[in-house]
Amino acid sequence: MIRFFLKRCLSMIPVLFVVSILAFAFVHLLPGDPARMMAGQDADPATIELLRQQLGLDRPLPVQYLRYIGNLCTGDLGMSLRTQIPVFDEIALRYMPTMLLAMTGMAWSVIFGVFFGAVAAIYSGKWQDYLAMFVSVSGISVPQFWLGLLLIQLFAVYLGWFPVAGYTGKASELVLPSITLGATVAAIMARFTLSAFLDVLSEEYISTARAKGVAERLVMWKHAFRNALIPVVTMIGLQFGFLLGGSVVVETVFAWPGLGRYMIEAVAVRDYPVLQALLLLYSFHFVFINLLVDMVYALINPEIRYE
Amino acid sequence: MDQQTITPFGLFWHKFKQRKTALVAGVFLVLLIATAILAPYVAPYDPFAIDYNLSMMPPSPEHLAGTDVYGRDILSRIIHGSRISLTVGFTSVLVGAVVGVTLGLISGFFGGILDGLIMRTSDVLFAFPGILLAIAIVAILGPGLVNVVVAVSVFSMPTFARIVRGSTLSLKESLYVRAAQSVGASRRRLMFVHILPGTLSGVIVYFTMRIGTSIITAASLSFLGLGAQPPTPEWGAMLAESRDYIGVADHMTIFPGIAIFLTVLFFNLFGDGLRAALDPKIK
Amino acid sequence: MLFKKASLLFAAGLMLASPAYAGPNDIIYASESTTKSLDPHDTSDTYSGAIERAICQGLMGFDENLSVVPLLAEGYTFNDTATEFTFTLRKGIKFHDSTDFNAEAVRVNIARMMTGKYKRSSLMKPVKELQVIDDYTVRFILNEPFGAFVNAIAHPGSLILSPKAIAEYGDEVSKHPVGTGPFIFEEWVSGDHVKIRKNPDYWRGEVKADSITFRPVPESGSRLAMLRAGQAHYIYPMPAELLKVAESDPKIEIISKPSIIERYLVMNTQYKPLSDVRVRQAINYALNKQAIIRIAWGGAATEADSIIPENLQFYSKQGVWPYDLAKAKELMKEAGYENGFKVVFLTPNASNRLRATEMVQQQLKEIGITGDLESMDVASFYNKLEGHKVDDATPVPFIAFGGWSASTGDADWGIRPLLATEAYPPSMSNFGFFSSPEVDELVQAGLASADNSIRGEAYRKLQEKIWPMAPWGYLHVDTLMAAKVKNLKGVYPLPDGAFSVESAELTQ
Repeated sequence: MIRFFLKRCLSMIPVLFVVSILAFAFVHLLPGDPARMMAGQDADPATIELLRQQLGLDRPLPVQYLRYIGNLCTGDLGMSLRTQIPVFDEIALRYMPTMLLAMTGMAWSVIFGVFFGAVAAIYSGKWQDYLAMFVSVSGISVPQFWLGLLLIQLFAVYLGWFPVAGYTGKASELVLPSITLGATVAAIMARFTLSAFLDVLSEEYISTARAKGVAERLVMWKHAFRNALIPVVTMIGLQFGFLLGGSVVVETVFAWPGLGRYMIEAVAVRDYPVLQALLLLYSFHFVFINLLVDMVYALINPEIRYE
Repeated sequence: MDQQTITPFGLFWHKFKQRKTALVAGVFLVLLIATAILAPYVAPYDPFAIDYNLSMMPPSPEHLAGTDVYGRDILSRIIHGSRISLTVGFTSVLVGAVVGVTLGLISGFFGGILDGLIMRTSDVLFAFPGILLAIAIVAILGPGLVNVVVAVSVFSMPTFARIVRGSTLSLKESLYVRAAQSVGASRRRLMFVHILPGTLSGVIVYFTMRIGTSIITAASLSFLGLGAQPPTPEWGAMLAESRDYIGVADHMTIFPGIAIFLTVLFFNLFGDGLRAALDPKIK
Repeated sequence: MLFKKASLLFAAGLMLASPAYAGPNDIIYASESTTKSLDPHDTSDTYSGAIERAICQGLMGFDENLSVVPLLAEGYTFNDTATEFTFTLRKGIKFHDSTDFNAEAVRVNIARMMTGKYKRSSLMKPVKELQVIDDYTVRFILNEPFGAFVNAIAHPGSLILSPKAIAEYGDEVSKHPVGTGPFIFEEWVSGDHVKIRKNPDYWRGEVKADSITFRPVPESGSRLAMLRAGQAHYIYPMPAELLKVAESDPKIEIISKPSIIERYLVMNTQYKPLSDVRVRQAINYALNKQAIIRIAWGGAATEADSIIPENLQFYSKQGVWPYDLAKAKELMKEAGYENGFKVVFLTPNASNRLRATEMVQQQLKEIGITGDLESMDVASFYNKLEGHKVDDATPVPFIAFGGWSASTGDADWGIRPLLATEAYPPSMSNFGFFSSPEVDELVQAGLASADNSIRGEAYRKLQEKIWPMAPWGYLHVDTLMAAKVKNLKGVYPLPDGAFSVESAELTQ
C-alpha cells in the first residue's frame, strides 16, 4: 500500500514538470506588458522601464525561465508583481476560503446528487425519477454566474436570508456561493449515483437479500447504497478539480476572497509569478486528489489490485 | 423481450422511447435546430436593427421578449443566436471528439510509449480545470467565437480520448476482433472497422451532454469578457451584457437565460435517454 | 470580531431591518477595486492612493474640486522662472508613531522618492535637489522650469510617511504605512480588506468614525445588493445601470459628482483616411453623444466640451460638438469618402466601454464607416494600441475607445501625454500619433512658468487651437457615482475617482 502510494507520488512529478513549462509558456504568451499594468494608466515611460528592470522582465526569456525553475526547486514562488508580497503568502491568504467553498460545494453536490440519483434509481421510470433527474440536470444547465446573480437577488436582496457577498468568516456567507458552485456537480453526481445504483440493484446479492425476506428499506440502505457509493467517491475526485475551476466565476460574483478571483485579477494585470504558481497549484491539487481517491477506493474495496 | 423485433435500431428505439423526458427533449431539439436553420424567416425583426427610443422596453405584443439596451428585439436576437450557440456547442465538441477519439483509439490500440505519451498529455490537460484552460487559450488567442471553439474543444479532447481508450482496450481482446485479426485484417481495418463502432455508444452519449457544457462554457467566457464580440447575438454574450441590468430590466437576462437553460437541459435529458438506450448496463 | 453580532441577527432573519450590524461607527466601504499597495511612493492606482490619503498627508493636497490647497505646508512661494519652490511647514504635527513632522521628515521622503526606485519617483524627476532651510522650511530646486510642480507635490504619490517607519520597515512600509492623517492603519489582508481606525490625536480636530473597512466587490450588481442588504455603507462606483433600483430604495442616497475622467475615441491621425481633418470632423458630427451617455453610460456623464474636463486646472470651454448627420455626410463627401471606408473598433471589455464602442460602431455606420469590433482586457488593449507604430508599412485604420484621468489635476498632464509629438508611444500615450508644431509649442509655453495667469493663457490658446483639429472623436466626461446609506455622512468621491473619508460618520 505504501509502496503503491509512493510510486503514484513519483508519477506526479513528470506531469507537474510539464505543467510548469506550460504555465511559464502560457503567461509569457499572454499579450500585454506587466510593467505597464503595474505602472498605472497615466505612467511615464521611465517608470515603465524602471519596473521592467525591477521585475526582471528585461532579461531574455530562457534566463527568466531558468530563474523561475531554479526558484521553484527551492520552493520559492517569487513575489507578486502587483503587491510585492511573496506569492506564497498571497496564496496562503486565499487558500482556505477557496478550499472551504469547494468543499462545501462538494458536500452539497454529494448530498443532493446522491439523494436525487438514489430516488431516480429506486423509483425508476416513475414520476419521482423524472422529477429528481429534472431537478438535478437543471443545475448543470444554468450558467453559474447567472444562477449566482439570481440567488443573490432572491435570497439576499428580497428575502434577506443570507448575506449578499464577501467572506468574513461566517457560515451564513458560505451558503449561496457554495450552492451555486455545487449545483453543477450535483447533476453529475446524480447521474453517477443513478447508474451505480441500477448496477448494484441488478446484482445477485440484492435479489438474494430480497429473497431471504430482508426488508426493502434495509436492502436499499445496507446493501445497495454502500456499494453504489464507490463510483461516487471516484467522481468526487474527478469533479474536485472542476469545482476549483468553477470557483473562478463564483468567486467573482460573490466577492469571495479566494484563489479563483485572484486568478482573474492576476490575469488582468499580467502578474506572471502569481499566474504560474496558481496554475501549478491547481494542477497539483487535481493530480493529488485523484491519487487520494485511488487510495480511498482501494480502502473501500480491498479487491482492487495495485498495478 | 420479443425476439423477432431485435434489430439494433429497434432495440435502441424501444429503450429510448421509454424515457419520456428524452423523447420530449428530442422533439424540442429538433424544433430548436429547425428554428436555427430558418432563423431569418422565423425571427420577427432584424436582430441588429437598433432604435434608441425603444431602449429596454419590457415584453409587449410587438416585442414578445422585450427589447435590449439599444432597442433591438430580444426574441429575434435569441432566434438568430440559436444558430451561433448551437454552432459553437456542436463544432467545439465535434472537433474535440474527432481528435479525442482518434487519439484514444491509437492510444488503446497500440499501447506502449504512444499510449503513455497520449495519456500523460491528457493528464496534463486534465490537470487544468476546464474553465481555466479555456481562459488561458482565449486570453492568448484573443476573444472571438473561433477561439472560443478552439478553447472548448481542447478541453473536451482528453475525456473523449479516455472513453475511447478504455473501450478499445477491452474490445481489442474481444473474440471477434481477435478473429478478424487471425484472418489477416489490417491494423487500420481493425481499428476503424472493428473497434471504433464498438466505442461509439459511449462517445455519442458523452457528445450530447458535452454540447450543453460547451454552450455553458462559452457563456461563462462571455461573462469574463472573453467570448463572442458584439453585435453577435450569442446567448452567453446577451446574458453577460444584460447582467448589469438585473433588477432594472430583468427581461433582458431572463429570456436568454431561459434559452440557454432549456437548450442545455434538453441536451442533457436527451443524452440521458441515449445512455439509457445505448448503455447495456441500464435496463 | 467586527461581525460577532452578525450570526445572531442572521438567525433571526433581521439583516434587512438592521443595516448597521457592525459597531456604531464602523464603516464598510465596498469598492470595485482591490488594494494593491499602501506605500504612497510606490502606488500607481487611484483606489490604493485614496486609502493612503486617509492615512498619510502631503505638503499640499486637493480639495473637493481638485484645487490645490495647503495641507502639511502652510504655504509656498516660487521664483519667476518656476525653478525654485519654497514650502513653509506647519508646526506641532506628529505622525501616528509620535515622530515629529518637520523638514527632516520631508527630506527623508523626498530623498526616498528621488532614488528613482518607486512607481511615483517620476513626480520628483524635475527636482535637482531639496534644500532644508530650517526645521520648518524646505526648498525644491528644479532642473528646468516646471510650472505644474505644485500639483506634483499635491499628488497622492508625494504623501509624507513617518521617517521612523521608513527606517524601520524599509520597502515593507507598504504593509505598515504610518502618516499624519485622520486614520491609523490597522490591517491589510491582501485580496480581502484594508482596515483603518480613528486617529485620536488628529491635528485638524476630532475624527468621528471609529474605523473604516475597505472591501473589494468586483461585480457591480453584488456591490449594490450589499448596500441594499446593509452589508456595506458606501459603494463606489455605484453602477449607473442600476440607478432606478437604487433610487427606489428609501434607505439609499446617490452621490454624483463631475469627474476629471475624459472619454474620447483615438484614431490614427497619420494615415488615410483618418489623417484628413474633414473625415475626423465628420466622425465628430456623426457621434450622437447624448444617446451614448444615456444608454451606454447610464446617464452618468456630460458631453465633452474641450479636450480636458471642466474640473482640470486651466480648462477653457469650447462648446459641445453638435450631432449633425447631414453635415457629417457632407464632409465625408468633400473628403472623397462618400462611400465610407473600413476601420477596426478597439475597446477594453469593461461593460460600459464596450457598450459605448458598440454604439459608436452603430452610429458611424450611418456615414459609411464600418468594421469589426474587438474588445479585450485592458492589458491586451494597450498591447494592441502600442503595436501600431507611426511608421507602420501597412497601417490599420483604427478607432479605439480611450479614457484619461490626469492624476495631478493639472492641464499639462491632461494634454501633453496624449496629444504632444513627444508623447508618441511607447514613450507616452499619444496612440493616434497626433502631431502639430503649434500644439507642441503651446504645451511647452504652459510649462515655462508657475504663474497661473501666464499658464492659463497658454492653455486657453491650446484648447482653442486643438478643438477644431478633431484629433479625437470627442465623447464625454464621466460623472462619478457613489451610493451610501442615508445615515452615513462625510464620505464623498473626488473628481479623480478617489474619495475622501476624513469627516466620515454614521449618524443614528
